[in-house]
Amino acid sequence: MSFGGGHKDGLGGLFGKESATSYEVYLNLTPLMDVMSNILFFLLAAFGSTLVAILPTTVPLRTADVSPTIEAKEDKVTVTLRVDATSLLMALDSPTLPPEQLRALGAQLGRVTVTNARTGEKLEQYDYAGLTAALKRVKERYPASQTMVLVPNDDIIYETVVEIMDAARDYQLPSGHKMVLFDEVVMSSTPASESKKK
Amino acid sequence: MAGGGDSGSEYEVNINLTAMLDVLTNLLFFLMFGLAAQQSAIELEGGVRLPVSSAELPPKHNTTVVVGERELRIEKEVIATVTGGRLPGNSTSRIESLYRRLVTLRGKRIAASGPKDAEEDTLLVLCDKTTPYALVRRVLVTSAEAGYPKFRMGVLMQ
Repeated sequence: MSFGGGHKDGLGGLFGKESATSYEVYLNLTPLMDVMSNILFFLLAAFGSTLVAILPTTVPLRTADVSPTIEAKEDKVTVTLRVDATSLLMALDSPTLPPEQLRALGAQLGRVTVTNARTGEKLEQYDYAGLTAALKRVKERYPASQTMVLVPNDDIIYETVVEIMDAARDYQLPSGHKMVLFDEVVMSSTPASESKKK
Repeated sequence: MAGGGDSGSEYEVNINLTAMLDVLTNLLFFLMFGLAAQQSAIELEGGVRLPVSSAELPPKHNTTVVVGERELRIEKEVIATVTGGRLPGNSTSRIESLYRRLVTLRGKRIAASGPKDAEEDTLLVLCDKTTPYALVRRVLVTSAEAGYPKFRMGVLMQ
């Protein structure tokens, strides 16, 4: 007695000529579910986060009341930063301190060439690191100071203004904390621009 | 001789993961596209490309002035056209159309809710990163004269 069948490619053959060839396929979905769950959770977290931030600033306004109010408890200085095509000129001003004392903390910073760490591309830009260091020295000497008057030339683009404000806002300490420098920025104009109006 | 075997019965549980995978895949794709669209929406309107900054302050709802490559807008209303980083007319004077519109908006707001909230006199300014400072300053000075002395400059977070 022999069993029927003898198909080389199938399991069937024992019960007649027609046989159903069925393969059971086991898909291991566990790692796929893991990956998709992780991606989903990270996307949910990132989706709610803010992409846009803001930089608070003001402009100087002429007001009727010109009587100065001097807060005498701590010495404060106002940093004036002029931006032209080739340099940053930093000067200090205070109603209570002598100009000779403030002159030593002023600075003139030129442009430097930096290398982009990711692309290796060389870029020429203002010396933002030098600006931050100079402002840090002023802040350490006069901690109550927080106002910077920014006076860019008319042809300086907005992106450069933002980069300067970033460099002036805070300083990253070795401990990881940030030291606030000059986060109150007043955007002014050069006297040449003002005189064009007249 | 009876062979030894496991005692008790085993239940095979078949979980149909197909539907769950469908749902997760759809969620994944919609979130991916939504995340890309969120940044694009900020950039594409009026041709504004915001500069990147290390600032971390979140934006609040304020009247928005947009200074794009092609137009100057308050919210979605076009106030003036921008050509080569300049507005037509005198390059140093107040922007009259912007001034009038802001005065009108401020008047409506005060009429509706009263002059009690100083926070409302803050403008959110979105400027294209290539905008010359001269134009930025004109917008800020005009806005200050219209009764909005404080500004929040919108940037993209690093």
